[in-house]
Order: sequence, then structure tokens, then C-alpha cells
Amino acid sequence: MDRTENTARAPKPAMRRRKKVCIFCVDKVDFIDYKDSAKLRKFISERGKILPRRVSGTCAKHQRELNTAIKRARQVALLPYVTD
Amino acid sequence: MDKVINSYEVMFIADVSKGDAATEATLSKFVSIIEANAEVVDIAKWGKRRLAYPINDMPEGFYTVVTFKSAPEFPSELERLMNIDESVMRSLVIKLEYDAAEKKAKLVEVSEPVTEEVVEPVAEEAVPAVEE
Repeated sequence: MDRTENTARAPKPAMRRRKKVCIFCVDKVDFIDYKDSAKLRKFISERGKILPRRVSGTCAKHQRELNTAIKRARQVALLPYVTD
Repeated sequence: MDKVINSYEVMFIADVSKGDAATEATLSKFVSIIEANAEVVDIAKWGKRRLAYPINDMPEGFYTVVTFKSAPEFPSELERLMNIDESVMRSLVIKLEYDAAEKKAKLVEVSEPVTEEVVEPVAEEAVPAVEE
């Protein structure tokens, strides 16, 4: 939602510099639990797809762990594979 | 060589269509299998939950999570047994990167004193602050 400001071609280049920080790094999470479906839901789109890093702002390490967590949650029907 | 002992976690969804007694039977069956072959750290019964998508045309299932420590041969055997049993709709066995027993001990240590000491003073301070 906040991204619309950034993607609109702003004449001031200095404004684009807002850096996203990884939520998991801020909370010092060392293990992303697949059972916490409420938390994982923030990282999937309305259709059920995993959000890319450029949208969610997670770092590479945590995005990798997040991916496995979401895929595990899908296996046991805690999260949907697709929602139409 | 020392015996290798790892921490594992199994989540399985039991069929609820055949009544509570049948669900309970599959539950106790697998819990006893795990107890016989591994050291059980924690058993969490989540109970009946809606599935995110239907499995075998069923909208809900009974979730159970068991954390245990065992030799590396046991999890694959457990997976095999769960796949054979038709009353288990879905199962997932994962290896935990941390020691399950240590983590549980830490959680108990942290959660007990924190909830008792911190929650009360915050509530007391918040009330006079609003009045000022």
C-alpha cells in the first residue's frame, strides 16, 4: 500500500530511499514456525502466493526460511495453495 | 560411536468423519507407537480445525502435534505407518534444528516469571497516567 508512493515516478530522487527492514531480523527470530499460520498469512497474497522479497522486505536468509515454513503449512492444510 | 539422537516434530491430521471414538483410537495408536520408539517431549492436541482446503472432500480434521527425540531411523518408519493408515488424512514429520527438550525447558522458565511480574505493574501505571 505504501509502495504506490515509491513506484509513482517521483521527481525527487531523495524520496525513494526509504529502506525496508526485515521483520524477522528486527524481532531476532531464529526459527520461523510453520504452525504459526496467522503470522505466515501476512506473507502471502490474496490468491495465496508467497510475496516476493521486494514487497515484504524480508532479508534473503529469512525469506528462504519463510518459504519452507509456508510450504510446510500448505502441506498440512494450515494455509491454502490457491484461493480464488 | 555415540548413538545419534535428534529432535523431531510430527503433525498429523486425523479423520473426524467416523466419530470421536475412531479419532481417539487413531490418536492413541500413534501416540503409543511414538512413546514405544522415542522419548516424547510434548504432545499438543489442537483439536478439530477447519482445513485451508478440503482433503479427500473433508472440510475439517483433528490436528495433533507431537515433539519427540529419537534415533534417525524412526521418523521414516513413522511416516510409512501414517501413510498406510487411512484414518490419518495428512502427516508431516520434520527434523528440528534445535534441541526440543532444552527449548521447552527455556520456554517454561521464561513464561512463568514474566507473565506474573510484568503484567501487573503496567496495568497499575497505566491507570494514573490517563487521569493526569
